[in-house]
Amino acid sequence: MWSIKWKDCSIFPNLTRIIDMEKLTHYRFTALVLMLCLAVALHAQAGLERLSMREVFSGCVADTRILSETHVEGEQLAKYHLTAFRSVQCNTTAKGFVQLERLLIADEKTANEKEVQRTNQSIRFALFRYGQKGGTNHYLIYQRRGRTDFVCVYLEGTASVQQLKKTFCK
Amino acid sequence: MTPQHIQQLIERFLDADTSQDEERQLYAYFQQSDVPEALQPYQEMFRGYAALAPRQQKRRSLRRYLPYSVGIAASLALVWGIGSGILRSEALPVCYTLERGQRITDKAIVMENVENTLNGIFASDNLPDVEHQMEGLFNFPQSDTHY
Repeated sequence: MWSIKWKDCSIFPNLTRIIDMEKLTHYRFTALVLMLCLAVALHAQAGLERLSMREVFSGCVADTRILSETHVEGEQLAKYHLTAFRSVQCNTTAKGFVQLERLLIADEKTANEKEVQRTNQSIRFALFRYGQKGGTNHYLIYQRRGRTDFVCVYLEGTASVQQLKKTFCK
Repeated sequence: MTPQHIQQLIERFLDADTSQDEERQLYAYFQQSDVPEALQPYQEMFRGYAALAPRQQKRRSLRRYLPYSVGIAASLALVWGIGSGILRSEALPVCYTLERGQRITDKAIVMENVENTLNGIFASDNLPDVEHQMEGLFNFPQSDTHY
């Protein structure tokens, strides 16, 4: 539409270069879609989504059943210096525990701070902290409870490990 | 543009009867070097007029980019709006527990669950329980059936 108008216009008789508006519209749309994808991708990388153990929270671990699930975000957690809390209590089989071990080992590699306790070579307790000191911390906590049960917790906030232990060690 | 047409425009220009577009045609014509001899006396005059009218030319070139600027600004506003919407939706308070298929949103109950979970983790993480100690001693096999 614009190119036709420019061509027929007698105001600029010396104008020889006509911009192709169809191509410009196409490039603009492509750039917009790319910016949206980039924004969504960057957002998805934050928090729980970047951890392998996210499969536990979404119920994707083999032979594992989620018995209860808790999710809290907001001012209710402010007194603990936390902004997000997610936990799942599950039971599973030996096969499930094998997969859990794999996921935990994968997430252990990227943790800034870690605490792992094993019994008979299998992980009984794990606490991983992600994030730079002084900023927002992301915690992944795993605790095996008995032969078939375990609990997995994801936390976000400025609380340190020491503060959490002091607050909840009752 | 033929010299005759230019001559007509010059006469109309001197009678103050030309439009702005026609004047710009004259300015553009006399900018070139191969002006016919009959029209050369007017060349210096129209070059002087052309030098006095730079503001209008600049305004036109800015208008030319206006549709693109509006489009770019609209695209950026759309991206910003969608991004803000995503971030705002994540910032809404969330507070629930799902237990035996039942969703509980009572803040007191949910927060009690939170505290019990974290107390259970941090209070006992350094002490292996009796079952684990027994497993370590006698290597009890793990059963695959539990439901």
